[in-house]
Amino acid sequence: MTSSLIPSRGTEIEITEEQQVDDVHRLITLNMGPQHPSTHGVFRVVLDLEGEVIVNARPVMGYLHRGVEKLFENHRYPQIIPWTDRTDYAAAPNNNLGLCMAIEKLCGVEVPERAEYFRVILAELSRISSHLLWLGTHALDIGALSMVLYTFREREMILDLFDKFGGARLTTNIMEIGGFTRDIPDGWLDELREFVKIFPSRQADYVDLLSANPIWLNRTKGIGIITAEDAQAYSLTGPMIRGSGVAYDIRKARPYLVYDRLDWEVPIGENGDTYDRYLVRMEEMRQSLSMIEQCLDQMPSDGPFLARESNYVQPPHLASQYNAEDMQRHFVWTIKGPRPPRGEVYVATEGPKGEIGFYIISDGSSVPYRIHYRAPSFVNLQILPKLAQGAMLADVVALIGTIDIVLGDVDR
Amino acid sequence: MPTKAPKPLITCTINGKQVQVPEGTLVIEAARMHGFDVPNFCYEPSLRPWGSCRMCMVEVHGRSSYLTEGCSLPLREGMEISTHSPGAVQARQDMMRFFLIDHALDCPVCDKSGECKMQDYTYEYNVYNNPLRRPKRAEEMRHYSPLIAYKLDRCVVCAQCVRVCEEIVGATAISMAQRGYYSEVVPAFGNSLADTECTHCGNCVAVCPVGAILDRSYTDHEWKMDHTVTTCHYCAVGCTIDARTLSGELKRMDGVMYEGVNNGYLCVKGRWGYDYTHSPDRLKQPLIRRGDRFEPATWDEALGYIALRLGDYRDGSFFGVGSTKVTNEEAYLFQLFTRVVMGTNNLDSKARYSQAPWQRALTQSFGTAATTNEIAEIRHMKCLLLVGANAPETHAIVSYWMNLAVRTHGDPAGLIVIDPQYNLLCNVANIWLRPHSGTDGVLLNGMAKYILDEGLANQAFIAARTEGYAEWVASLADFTLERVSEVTGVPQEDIAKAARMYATGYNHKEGDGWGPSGAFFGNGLTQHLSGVDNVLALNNLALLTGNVGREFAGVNTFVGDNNTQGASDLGIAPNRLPGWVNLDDQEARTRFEELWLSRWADGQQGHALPTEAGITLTELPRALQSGAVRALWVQGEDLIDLAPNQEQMEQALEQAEFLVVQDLFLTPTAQLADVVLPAVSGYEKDGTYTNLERRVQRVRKAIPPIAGSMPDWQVIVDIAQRFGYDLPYRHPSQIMDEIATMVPQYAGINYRRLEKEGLHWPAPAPDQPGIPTLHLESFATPSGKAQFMPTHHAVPGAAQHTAFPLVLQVGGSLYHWDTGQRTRRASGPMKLEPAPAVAINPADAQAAGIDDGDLVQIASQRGSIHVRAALTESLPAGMIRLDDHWPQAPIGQIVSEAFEPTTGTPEFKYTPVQIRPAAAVTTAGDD
Repeated sequence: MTSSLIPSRGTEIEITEEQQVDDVHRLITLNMGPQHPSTHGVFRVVLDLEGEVIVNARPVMGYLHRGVEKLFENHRYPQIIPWTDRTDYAAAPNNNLGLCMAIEKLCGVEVPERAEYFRVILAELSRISSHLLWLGTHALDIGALSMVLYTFREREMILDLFDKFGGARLTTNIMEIGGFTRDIPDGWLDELREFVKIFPSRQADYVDLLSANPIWLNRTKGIGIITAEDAQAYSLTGPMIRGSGVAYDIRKARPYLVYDRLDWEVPIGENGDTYDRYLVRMEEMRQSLSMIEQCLDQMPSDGPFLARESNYVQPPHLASQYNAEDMQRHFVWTIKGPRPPRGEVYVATEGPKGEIGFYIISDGSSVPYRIHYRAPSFVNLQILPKLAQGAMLADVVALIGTIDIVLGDVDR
Repeated sequence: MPTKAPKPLITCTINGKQVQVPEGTLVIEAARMHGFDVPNFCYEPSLRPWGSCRMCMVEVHGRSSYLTEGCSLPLREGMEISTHSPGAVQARQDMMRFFLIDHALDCPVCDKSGECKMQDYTYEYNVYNNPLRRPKRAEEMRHYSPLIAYKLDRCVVCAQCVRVCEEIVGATAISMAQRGYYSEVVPAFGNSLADTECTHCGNCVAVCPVGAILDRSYTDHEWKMDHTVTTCHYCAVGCTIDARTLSGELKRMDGVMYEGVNNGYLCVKGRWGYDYTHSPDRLKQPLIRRGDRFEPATWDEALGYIALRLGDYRDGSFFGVGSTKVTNEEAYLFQLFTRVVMGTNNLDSKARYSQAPWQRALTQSFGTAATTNEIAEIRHMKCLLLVGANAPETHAIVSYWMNLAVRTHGDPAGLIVIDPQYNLLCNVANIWLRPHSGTDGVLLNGMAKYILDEGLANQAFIAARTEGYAEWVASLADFTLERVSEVTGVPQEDIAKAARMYATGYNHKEGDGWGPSGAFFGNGLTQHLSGVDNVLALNNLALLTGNVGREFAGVNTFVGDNNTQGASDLGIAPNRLPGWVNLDDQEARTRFEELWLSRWADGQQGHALPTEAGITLTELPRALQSGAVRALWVQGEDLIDLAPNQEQMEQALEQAEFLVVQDLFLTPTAQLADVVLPAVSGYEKDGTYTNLERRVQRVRKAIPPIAGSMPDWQVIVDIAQRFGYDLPYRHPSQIMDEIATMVPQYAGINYRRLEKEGLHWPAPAPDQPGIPTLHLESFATPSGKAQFMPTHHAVPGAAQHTAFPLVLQVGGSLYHWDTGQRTRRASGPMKLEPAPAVAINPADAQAAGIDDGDLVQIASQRGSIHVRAALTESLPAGMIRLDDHWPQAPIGQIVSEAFEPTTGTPEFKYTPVQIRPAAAVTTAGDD
């Protein structure tokens, strides 16, 4: 691209001759990324600038492509769960949940009530954790440096909870087909209650730091406006569509687990700008916390935690060390894997970033014939060029931040 | 598999589906035929129904429905069966709960995990709670032998191991002991399998549905393994084996249940004789002799050097020793190289030492040098005649089928064993004749004469399908019962009984005639001075009773190595071209020359195919000493350990100007070589073998060649290239395609067809099946009729030497094979038989003052060797047996130097020797 004023290395974007002539006189082509701290991963946007105004933004993705769908299809069903950790790694339990629910639907496994409550707790904790990560880095990108220190402090508490229950902080592999093979550790729920008690005041601090901050307001209000029509046309989901005033939340629209037994609201924005999406996510954290609280109250203190009678479910850990029948079932389940009946299912769940969808085709063998994974980050990111068009160069980081992408999820 | 007259079909309903099955089919079989899998622990199709595990409960519908075992219920017309009704499933779940009460919590450490029926059924039938509990009985692993272990608390007492041992192997080495809760599998009458007749075939391990009987050397898990289905490369049976490998290392050999000639069963060599492959002794790179020592070389250097040196010997002074262990493709290429590139018919193989007599005899009588019938027919034979072969030790799988035939419930076959030595089949034989060594031919003629005299001959068959009958009958005049009994030492009434049994198919009427009788023979007939005549006598006997060219009968031989048949088919012989074509067959020569000579690069046009017959392996030492042969290529044979006269062979090889040896190890022969090329074992290459029933089977690469070695066919292609002779092959399948065009017997064979299962030759065309039973319509002789051949028998006993009162028989051990180069490096066989021993009758031992385990000296007219003695009743007095696998007991220093005059096969089965305690020998040792 010798014709470009700023030499760019290795860009694969085709530039027509006509454009080149124009570019020489008018446009600056600027590569943002792939190594850029504000793209939240290995992501690249090629920007055509007219001065500081963005004429055209062309996202280039795929740097983190690992072919997870192919990986899914080459592993036995239970082995797929850890792979879903590595899509949206900021909210692994939500991905785990989506897959497990899809497999359960395929196999007709009924999850015990107690496990359903616990799944909601983990999913909502994960949502808060994901939003905290988003909030910290989004603010950091825009210039509010201290925000990330506080949000990561609270996120750490959640990751510790994951660690104490499932043994891992980030790639949790925390959901299992049919419920949970291990019980909740002693003291875990107390720790969770502690978190539920502390978190509202901490969230109030965030609000103090940001909501009336003029710089924050200037950089988010009126930036990246998405109309409700556009949001629907682009298949946006999650806070991205709710920020534009569309009250679409799968937990309400097609309730699963025990969401229909909980008392909660779907927060929506008015203007569809970056600030509204900030407000929506902040409110979602409050709602999630309330849901966790309700779950803690409603969850049966005792009772089955795993669908034991099903062949598709791993026998509980302790039992498989002491009972010949469970040990043997455990071995066959692990070595040969469960073989769901032939059929197709699609299960959508509400992740922190939007609709997480798993479409599975089973041919009756122990590995799926085909799995399609609907990644919310990938779909939501498609609106970036539209948002960026006409925006200022400095706003690109705000726009990427407001979409809330995780590149593991975009590129899969 | 050929079947007897098909049974009438009956119509039943299984799971609502109308099915037609042969009358008497068991429910479990019928259900499996139609895709319903009924679980079981104790059912095994080859064995008699047992019905102990009760996992195969099925529901029989009728006026009152009831549950019963599917494995022992024969279907009747109109029966309605549910295999998975709620009641049946419930019954199975309850059975599983009973089994699981005492089943050990061993899955993590159990070898069977991942392929265990117990695990599978627990999972499949979803047994997740068990109200029945009591403390587990933790039992120690019991080591019944160096290879086999038993863990009682995993046993489901299905008795499959015990039944296989008895009904198939015929060893009855293990047995159920105690009752009820205390039932256990133990070695019969002892604590160790060494006290029993165990052959260590390991079939008890293979059939165990759980991890109770175990292969002690495995200790790994199924889920880590890769599987390659290939063909075993020890004996000529050609068992289908499943080689389990882990990261390029062989971990275990198994049969593939219900597949192949072996139906999933193996013998000790096939199962435990594989790990020589990873022996540190394996040659890893080519070696070139420089003065007194070998120097490692690259393949390019070594092959370049060979090409350079061999160029001087294209005048007929070259001799190629082919191998009977390599693949068909490699054998074909080797003879091609010798004939076309080196321009000589000096080409022979180890078959000369054991197989040549029967090849000659069968060709003379029937026109085809091959076993006439297939192994699977044995089960339907009415009478079996086993002559001079220790089948349970050398070709165990065939003996399994014989054992099954003899034990068939309600319709057993008769079995006649003619052998001075005991073998496992003698236990079930109806009659066991023990003639003096070397008198089998006389005995067979005596039987023929008796049959003739009694009017049991099949005159219709003789008239329609044979020639030379009258002359042959005249030649039998001397073989009266009295005289035969006197010469052979077999009582007259036994000869008469055996003869009658054979002629009448164990007294089995079939139409106007008698039931089919199959005859089997081994090296006990061939490795004698009258080896050819011995086999001819057997052929005559079969012709006399009409038992050739007939299903479930025939004259069948135990060939030898895994591919002796194939190598012989493809022309590894000094007097034949591939496809058993004589050198003077002009038409065939033209066919071969057209293709073979067209491959020379320009200006390199070689000579026409040599017309003179080459020299044989027996003549080789003299030819080397006289200078007629100056260069030698030895493909995977250890000539020195093989030769009847070791010293002579060694001196002769030392005189060779240029010696190339391809082998796995640095054998004594390889140590004399100028260039040694590292070869690959049968687990490391692709190809085909032809087994003893003429079945061509695929050999598949289970592991990559051990570092630095190269398959023989690639070596030959490369070296031919260096001579300007272009062999256009990139894979053995292309060589087989060429063989199919050149060799009529193999015309219908290609790798795609072999993928599913082996094919018998003659396979006339790619769209026609192979022909398992030969001579059904006409014989392959020029006249189309079988030939009665008068025989002459030199009886060795007549010239017995007083100084050497005992007869030495060279045999083959159950645990070792060939010159022992492979089995002596395999840990399993070495644990069971780590050293040679001479078998001697206690009476002889006592006379010579020898105790079990003593070091003794065996001396013949030629020399003497030292070896430990093993006292055994399995030999008659006056006979000792020594196996030929051991360099520390080199039989090549003492055995007879005489050989069968027409084929040059050494007389390995008869050497007069004396034996005495080594302590009595002076320190000077020999003589």
